[in-house]
Amino acid sequence: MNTQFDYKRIETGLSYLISSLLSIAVALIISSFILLGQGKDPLQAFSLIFQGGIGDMAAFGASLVRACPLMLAALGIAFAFKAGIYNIGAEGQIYLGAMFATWVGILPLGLPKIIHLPLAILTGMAAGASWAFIPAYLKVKKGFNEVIMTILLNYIGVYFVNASVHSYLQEPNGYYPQTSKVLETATLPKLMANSELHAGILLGLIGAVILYVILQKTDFGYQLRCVGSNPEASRTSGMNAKLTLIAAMLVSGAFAGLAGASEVLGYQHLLLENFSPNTGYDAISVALLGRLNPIGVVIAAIFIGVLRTGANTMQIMMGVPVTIVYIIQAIIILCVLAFTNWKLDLSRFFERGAKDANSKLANRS
Amino acid sequence: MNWKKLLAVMLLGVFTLGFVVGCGGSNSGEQNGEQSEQPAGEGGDEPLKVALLTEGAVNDGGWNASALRSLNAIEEQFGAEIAYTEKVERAQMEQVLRTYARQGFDVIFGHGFQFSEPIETVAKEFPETKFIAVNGYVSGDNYYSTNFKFGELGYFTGMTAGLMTKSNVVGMVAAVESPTVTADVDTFIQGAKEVNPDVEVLVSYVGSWEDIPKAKESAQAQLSKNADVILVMGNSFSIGVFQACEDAGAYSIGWVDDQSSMSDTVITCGLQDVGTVYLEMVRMAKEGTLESKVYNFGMNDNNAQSLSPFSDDVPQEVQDQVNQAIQDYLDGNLTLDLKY
Repeated sequence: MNTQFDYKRIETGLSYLISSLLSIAVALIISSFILLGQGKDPLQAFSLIFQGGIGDMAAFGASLVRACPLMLAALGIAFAFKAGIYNIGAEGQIYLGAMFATWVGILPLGLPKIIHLPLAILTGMAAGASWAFIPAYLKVKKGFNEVIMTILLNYIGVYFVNASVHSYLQEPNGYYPQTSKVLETATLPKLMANSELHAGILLGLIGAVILYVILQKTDFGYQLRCVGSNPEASRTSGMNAKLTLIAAMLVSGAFAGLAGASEVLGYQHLLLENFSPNTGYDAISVALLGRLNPIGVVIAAIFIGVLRTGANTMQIMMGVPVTIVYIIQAIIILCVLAFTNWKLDLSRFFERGAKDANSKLANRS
Repeated sequence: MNWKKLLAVMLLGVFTLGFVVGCGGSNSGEQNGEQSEQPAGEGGDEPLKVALLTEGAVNDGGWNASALRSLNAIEEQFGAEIAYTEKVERAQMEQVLRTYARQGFDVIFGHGFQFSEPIETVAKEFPETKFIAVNGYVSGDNYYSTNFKFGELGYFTGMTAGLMTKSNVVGMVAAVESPTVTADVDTFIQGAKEVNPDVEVLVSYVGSWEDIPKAKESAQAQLSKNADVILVMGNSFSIGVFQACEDAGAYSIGWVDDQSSMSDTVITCGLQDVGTVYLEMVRMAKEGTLESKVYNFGMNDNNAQSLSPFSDDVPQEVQDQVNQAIQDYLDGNLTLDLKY
């Protein structure tokens, strides 16, 4: 039994490794042609992406800053997807989370940091969760389609926040459509000098561990995975599928809200219109890239962060148009997605090996 | 069958590894060469290195396009080495600014007020580099902001509209309700009322700088309320307003660029010459005369703002009256209630 389990692990690990390498290779080859078409040296371009993304600590710090909101939002999305509820609404939840966190952050409450900061973060999370509660409730009670609901709520959320920045949340002297700066007592600490790296990334890592434990080690997690894979069966076997769905959606929204809150409290320090465009949608690809596994999501988010930051550096150093950079990024993500879902036939090989081992064992006894 | 497939996969894997390893190996050599080359090139004649960051696309035919044009003008006039990055989201601004600063760029422009905060953060780390936020609000030892004197153009275009209207209703289609925009909206109303006390001014905000159909709808709504002169205070969406004016046989006034070639309805345009701003800032940076302040560029500063020539539809006496007012303003005989 034990040996078989080990085979299984080696098999998944190896197949993941090989498919990842394959996907990156294919992506690099396709991108090379595009770069050659632009008259640029692909090898130099890729080395610049690498250098700009993880070349030194400052570059890696910048990559982690990019990765942070993606990671937090994707953790939530993956959690909801696991439960079989498709939360496409991270974008709106991020915006609302950011808005409410900013709102608490700029209130002169006179509180010490130890209270003010968690208060701002929790408000942001609560805002994200409440925004996610609307589609969750309507799906469970009225049978609305959560995909359409969340997409539409994105528009409402984003425009609501943009309108707020133009009106009651606008800075007092009112010159620019932006809020006042968040008070010092509500900012997340910086982790590194001369970089924007803030403690939000730690929240992401802690969040990933917590979600992993919930999913894998608790009754609720088991129930959630059951509901995700077969809601009818779960219901007939006595699980409360509706409650599980709502809970999953609340957690998902809270993480998206946290993503928005940490982006403002840790990095941008004031709220602008369109402060973080498309993060909620990018986070969906991060969640899928991480195979809906919290640890995988962390890795995928850092990967995308490195790719984005490195691609910026490449664009600057080589003068490649930004659109080409976007195309290359998309090719890399698409290839990674395609290949991670491509089952290698390795499994059969290992199964055969395992069978041989088993039959030998059987023969011996 | 399985073995063949496995072999294929393995082979591919080996190729992949080879490719990746080969890539890494040759890359490091490539990069070293690159780095050793650059200082050598700089030591020769040391051209000024100027970089530009825009939040939107530089081919938007408006605000961001004007930035790229200015950058090209800088290359021509100062023989500067130029580079730019477009579509910089808020979350990347610091990193892109830093990358340019590390590359040894002397002057780095952020094209929009959104760059103010990132510039303030990054500028302190690179005391040798000069950072400029266009339409920004921050300034310090090595970072500066520029603004247009918002409100000037509104007044004189308002005058023109007030004199040209026959129905005594004029319209404004503006982009967003921000202070830099409302400054011109306020003076437009003042200017129009000054010359024509009976005039009614309709103002609509499109809520975007690009939404052509919505701009057209706003213009149509104003035209249906009898407006016969419409100022379009956007840039990329002007064409929508011009079309509506063509259909209704009304006059229009353009903004930022000389848009008279886009439609026969255009009687004049309020010009904001970003190019002048860029060239002036680079000149001062080169001479080392930049002061840590927010620079305001108006009609008195090398024509950074001006009205474009009137079309033939504008009667001579109207032209004379507006030009006289502009002259009075330039001579200091007319004071405007400006917020900038």
